[in-house]
This record gives sequence, C-alpha cells and structure tokens, in this order.
Amino acid sequence: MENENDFGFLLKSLIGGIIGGILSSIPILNMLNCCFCLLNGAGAALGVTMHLRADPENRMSMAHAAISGAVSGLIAGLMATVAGPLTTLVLGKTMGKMFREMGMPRDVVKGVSEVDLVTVISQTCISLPMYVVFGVLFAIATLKLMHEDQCID
Amino acid sequence: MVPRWTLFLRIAMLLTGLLPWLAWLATQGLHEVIIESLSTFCHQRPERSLVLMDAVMPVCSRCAGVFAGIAAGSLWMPRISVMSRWRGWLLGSAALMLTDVAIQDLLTHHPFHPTRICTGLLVGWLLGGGVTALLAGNDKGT
Repeated sequence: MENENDFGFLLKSLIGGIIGGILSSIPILNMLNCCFCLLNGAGAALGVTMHLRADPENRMSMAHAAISGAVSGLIAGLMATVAGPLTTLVLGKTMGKMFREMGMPRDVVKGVSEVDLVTVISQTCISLPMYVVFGVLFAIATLKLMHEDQCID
Repeated sequence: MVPRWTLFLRIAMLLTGLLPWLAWLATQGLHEVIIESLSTFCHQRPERSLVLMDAVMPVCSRCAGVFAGIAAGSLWMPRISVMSRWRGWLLGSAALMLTDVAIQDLLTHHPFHPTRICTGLLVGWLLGGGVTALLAGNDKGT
C-alpha cells in the first residue's frame, strides 16, 4: 500500500470513529451500544467501507483493517468516555446552577456539575482499550463479510 | 507464520471477555471501577443481571454471554465447516439474539437468563472466534 493510500485509509478510519463517537454520545441513541457495541462497530465498519468504496482498486489486508478498526474504536471511545467528563468540567457549574434553579434533586445536580474521578479513570483505563478491541473485531469482520473481493489476505 | 499482533489481539479479547466474569473477585473499590468502565457497554439493570458469589455482575446476562463468547472465541475458533458459512451463522445468531430481545421486551418482561446467555454467547463466539480463525488463516473455503 502506498503512503498516499495509507493516509486516506487512516483519515477514513478517523471519520468513522468520529461518527461512531458522536452517535455514542447522543443520549438514548447511545443505548444501541448496549447491543454489542453497535455504534462503535458501525463507526469501524464505516471507516473500512469508505476506504474500499472510494476506489474499487483499493485493497486492504486484515492487518490494515485491524489498524483502521483500532483508530476508529479509539476515537469513538475517546469521544464517548472522555468527552462527557470534559463537558462537565467546562459547563458543569452552569448546568448545576440551572438544574438547582429548576428544583432538581441534589443527586441530579451533583451528577451534572461534578466530575467523578473514578468514572474518568475507569473509563479511560478500561473502557477505551475495550472500544479498540471491539473496533478491531468489527473492522476485520466488515472487510471479510462485505468486501472479501478487496481483501488481500 | 501468524503475525505477533494477532496474539496481542487474542489476549486483549480474552481479557475483555473475562472482565465482567471476574469482577466478583475484585475488592469493593475495584468492583466499582469495573462497573463504571462497563457502563458504556451495557444498561446494567440489576434485574437483568446474574448474581455471582453474592455480587451482581457488572453487565446484564445477555452481555455476560457476549463477553464470554468473545473470551471463548479467542481460545477456541469455529471449525472450517462453520467458517465456510460464517456470514450465515453470524447473521443467523444475531437474528436469534434480536428475536430474544423482541420476545422479552414486547411480550413478556421477565428476563429468562438461559436464553439471554446462550444467544449472547453464540454471537460473541461467532464474531470473536470467527475473527480469530480468519487471522489464523483457518477460513479456507469462505
């Protein structure tokens, strides 16, 4: 694979990851992740598919699919796990004040205004690698199941 | 020769798959960390979760099956006869799991753990084990 193609496939993995991450961050819709990490998987699958659909001449090995899935999973994981606490850090006080004025229970106000360190550490150390693993699995499965003619292994 | 990264992937799959099953071994603090870390993967409703050694599992019984399937798939891959129809097996098992979801949520409301675990296990094993088989080049005939 040429360098130019390498960049193309990483960019598409990144886009797939961002889409998976955005979908994973939307309340209610993110419940689909409960179904076998579906949104993260969709992002990883999208990354592989976009690269292979861009040019019918494009080929991909399973190692490249794994890298693509890992990148997509990492980005989706970062957006789903780190973006939440970051938002709370930036907007927490304002949201807490707003919720307090609305008469929300103290627990709810605390939940939106304070960052729980246990959550941040656990999601960064454990959830993130799991997103990567699921991304790799889905990317390889997508390459083999949907684009077998473009798989070079 | 099988590339080294595939071994790392299999170890990562094994650890990922075993995590919810070994959570009861963890201390109280670590158990909380595991529950938090799995909250993005599962709704974690206690009434839909198994209880292991007096501790509620950090994922529901269906997810517990999926995770167990991934761990099993990292160690024991499907035979070539299964891999030759992998797409059909995978889609069939996913359809079976979704049927179980629909039956439980639309008709009954009582979680029946054996079917939840078995359907999850099948999907997890076919995906995890299927990828393991592909990486090992054990998919001739697909």
